[in-house]
Amino acid sequence: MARIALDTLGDDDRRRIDYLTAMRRLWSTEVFGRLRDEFDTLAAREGAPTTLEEAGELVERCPSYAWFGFLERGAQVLKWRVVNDVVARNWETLGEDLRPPHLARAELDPELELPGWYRDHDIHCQPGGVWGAAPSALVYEIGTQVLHIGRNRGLELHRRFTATFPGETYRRIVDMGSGFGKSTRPFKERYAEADVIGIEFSGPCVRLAATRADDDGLEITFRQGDAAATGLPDGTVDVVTGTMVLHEMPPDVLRATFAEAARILTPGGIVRFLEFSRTGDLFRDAVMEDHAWRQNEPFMPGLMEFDVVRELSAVGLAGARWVPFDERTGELLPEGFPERAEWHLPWAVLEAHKPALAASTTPPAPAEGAA
Amino acid sequence: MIDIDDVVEGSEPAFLGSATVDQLAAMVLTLGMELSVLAARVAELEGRDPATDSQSASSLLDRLFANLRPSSGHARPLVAERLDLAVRP
Ligand SMILES: C[S@@+](CC[C@H](N)C(=O)[O-])C[C@H]1O[C@@H](n2cnc3c(N)ncnc32)[C@H](O)[C@@H]1O
Repeated sequence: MARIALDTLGDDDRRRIDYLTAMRRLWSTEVFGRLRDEFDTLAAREGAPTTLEEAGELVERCPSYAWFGFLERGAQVLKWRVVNDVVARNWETLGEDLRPPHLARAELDPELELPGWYRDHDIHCQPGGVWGAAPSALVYEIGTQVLHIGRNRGLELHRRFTATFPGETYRRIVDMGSGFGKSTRPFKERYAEADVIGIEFSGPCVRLAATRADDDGLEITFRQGDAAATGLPDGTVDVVTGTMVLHEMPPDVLRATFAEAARILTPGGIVRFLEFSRTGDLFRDAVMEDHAWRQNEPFMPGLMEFDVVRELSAVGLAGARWVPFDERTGELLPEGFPERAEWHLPWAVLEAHKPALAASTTPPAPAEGAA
Repeated sequence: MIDIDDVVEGSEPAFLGSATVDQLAAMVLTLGMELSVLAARVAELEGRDPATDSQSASSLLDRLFANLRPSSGHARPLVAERLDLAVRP
């Protein structure tokens, strides 16, 4: 198992990160719980909301909401400050993680022009984004280990998602928006014979992804490029996947990305993205809507409103649907999201397939829960 | 959908009534972080386990949260009163 940057930190930095993790845990349990109680009290008094807008108005009136919002944003901003400091102070050692890879490939494209919708805001409030400077990828890597309330330190979440794929073997798998390869490596681990390719806008992320894959002995190609224009030949890919990438795209880019997926897939090939969807719990969904704003995720609500059946069938992908995913167990939950007391990201898999015959809409074998 | 201009051009949002209150609260949380570093060092020096020490990050934050949260302080206390919301221990 590759070492991760977090392992190289000194004691005091580790304590700061412990503090941030504790802050996030309190926020997601106690503060969220109090907010839910207030919301329920108001709803019982004034009538339960029936639309997302009504729920949003009600949640705004809860006394703890300002505090909840402040803490969500504040923890995120403080996190990046701590992590930026850590990487800047340890750059001499950490910078070695961007060395040229041996086994994996990092295909950089210095000519690539990043679009304005990607450049113009600091996604997740990370100063300079995940692409702005050489250390950005390392800052991002450490940041993810704090963000998900301590449950996303290694590859566990991504491995659980990979375990839900229905095929025993695949020839080629493309991971769109591969970041530093956290979502890509589990595919090469499970499908060792497959040609696994990560497509990623950020050059620093492509380099770090190749190093991390190298450290794990995984031969993966990471290519700097656009998910909506991969440059791969028509009909040559069995699986198009992506984790937490679609919600970063505006609607026209989403359409172009699905059209690209349909183009490169072989007939019978599948599309499966791990993302976030509405849960049907109006309180939770209203809080999530504002989470997008608080975290500088301007396109997240757009993905949740995206008419996946209509949009994906328009580009030739059939059987589109959201399937809730329990990130703790790796279980797919076609019945819907279970009740949970704490705040959590509403993980869900967006799946579809390219029909084997032009007229067929029979889905491939349904994906069952992970082992 | 969120207007991207709000995200691109907007200043840091204020949650707690005004930007100044937010900045002060953020400073307190940052100070809390540095305090937790010092507390852990002291615990280690004195041979106590910093993870279970009463000064640990969680209990420090518990106290900070209890004192900072708006319903016990500055923002919209009237709503809390109207709702008769019991302050949780
Ligand atoms: C939240 S990160 C997730 C990274 C990785 N999939 C993971 O699970 O750790 C999203 C990544 O998608 C990349 N990205 C966003 N839009 C993209 C696009 N159109 N083409 C390529 N990469 C994109 C971003 O640069 C970022 O690294």
